[in-house]
Amino acid sequence: MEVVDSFLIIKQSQGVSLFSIFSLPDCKHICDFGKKGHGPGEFIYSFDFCPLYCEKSGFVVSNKLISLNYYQIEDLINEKFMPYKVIYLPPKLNRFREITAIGDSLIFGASYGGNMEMFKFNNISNTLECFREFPDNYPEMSNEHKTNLYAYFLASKPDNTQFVRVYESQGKIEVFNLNSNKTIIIKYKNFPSLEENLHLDNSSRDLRYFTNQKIFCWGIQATNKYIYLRVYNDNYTNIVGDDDLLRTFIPDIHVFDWNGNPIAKIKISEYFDYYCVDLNDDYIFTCDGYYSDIICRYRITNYLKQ
Amino acid sequence: MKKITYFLILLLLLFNFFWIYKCSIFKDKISEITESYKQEIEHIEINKNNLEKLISNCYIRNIPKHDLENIFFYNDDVVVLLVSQGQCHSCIIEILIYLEQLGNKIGSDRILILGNFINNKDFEIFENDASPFIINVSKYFNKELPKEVIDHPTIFIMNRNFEIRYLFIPELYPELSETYFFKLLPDFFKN
Repeated sequence: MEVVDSFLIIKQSQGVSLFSIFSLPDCKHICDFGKKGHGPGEFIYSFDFCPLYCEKSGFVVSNKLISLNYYQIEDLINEKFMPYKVIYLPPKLNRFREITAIGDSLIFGASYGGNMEMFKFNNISNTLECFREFPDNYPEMSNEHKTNLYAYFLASKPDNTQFVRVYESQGKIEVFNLNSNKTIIIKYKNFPSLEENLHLDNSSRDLRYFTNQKIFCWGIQATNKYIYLRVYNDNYTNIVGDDDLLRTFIPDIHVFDWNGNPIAKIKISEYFDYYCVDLNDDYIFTCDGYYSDIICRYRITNYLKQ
Repeated sequence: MKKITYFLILLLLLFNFFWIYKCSIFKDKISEITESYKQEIEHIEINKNNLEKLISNCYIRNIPKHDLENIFFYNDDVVVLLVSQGQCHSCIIEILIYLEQLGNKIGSDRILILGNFINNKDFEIFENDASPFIINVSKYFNKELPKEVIDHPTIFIMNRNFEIRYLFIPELYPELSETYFFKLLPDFFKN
């Protein structure tokens, strides 16, 4: 789920339509769109989805693995369900693990191909660049394994000046400033190094999952003021059981400002699989995969004032 | 006089130390360069070996007419992707994305996928995965194909007489994939 302007967009895994749009803050249903299929305006192998903040805001959805459909929210609420732009990324990227859009022209992300930890694609000049190379610590490991090893989540600041990434298995957050090219790195105390956490050495070829492996974070959201991380910071076995998230474990939402200063830890009372924050930092909205017809809304202004 | 001699000896010693230091740095640099050349030679050797394998093992001139008669109705040249059971899934995905983008340029009806699968169920799974990218997917079983072709997804151009040209195995030469799909094949169909 993502917030674009004053609308909440939910990508559905069940049902006829792929997307549902609600107006905020009351979560009033506006429309549904996006069918599964191979035809025009339909979606297949569509896994990635991120908000788009530009002159006319909207969102970007991957289709057929690495082509991207750009939608304007205004078109959708007027029942024009076709993308205003479709771009094809270089096939060598293979498929995405994560993407974020900076304005209408830039895409940053992690892909399973292309031998890059983070790529940068400009869809106006049609150029692909390596934004961050993989660290040279595991020369024997394939790119596909490295993409999973250095797995991260991305979110853009709506003013398009900065974006942030948080790693899944490292207690590390990085804030990239696109104007100054400076990076702020925030490290969590006592979180094990990647080598310790995943029992790796420089001859490691593949990834194995260990019961005592720690998961740091599984999700990120951002507004112009703050970064909201879904932090687990616990052993995998305490979080996941029978290949599913344990409903007894509710992660905290850790809030930082864009200078990397910690602001708050938000406790959510009900289990959730997905979350997002409205752009005024008033509410967190959550969804539980088992009860997909319910959206929970939490007022967070008190947390952020403290 | 003595003082000057001592000073000159000291100067000479310092000079020697300086040159020893310079020599050790130079030696390190030389070994670094040698190492990088060794790696390059190794890379060239692998490529040469791949090319030899390709020439000696994968040289298929045509596909027997009777094998394809029921599935191949084209009067013109087509691009064929030949996929066999057990090949690298993400390599196939990458080729399918290339082919879809190629199809936007030359027409998707000029692209055909042949699935070299023993059993129908595996073929149906593959067909389902491939159909969002390319519509023309057919089963084609041939256990006589060269080992390299069975091991890696292979692409070629086939004419109406089932003759093969421009055979390419992206896994052996990933650095040439973009040139092959975005330059060589579109140029072939432009002429």
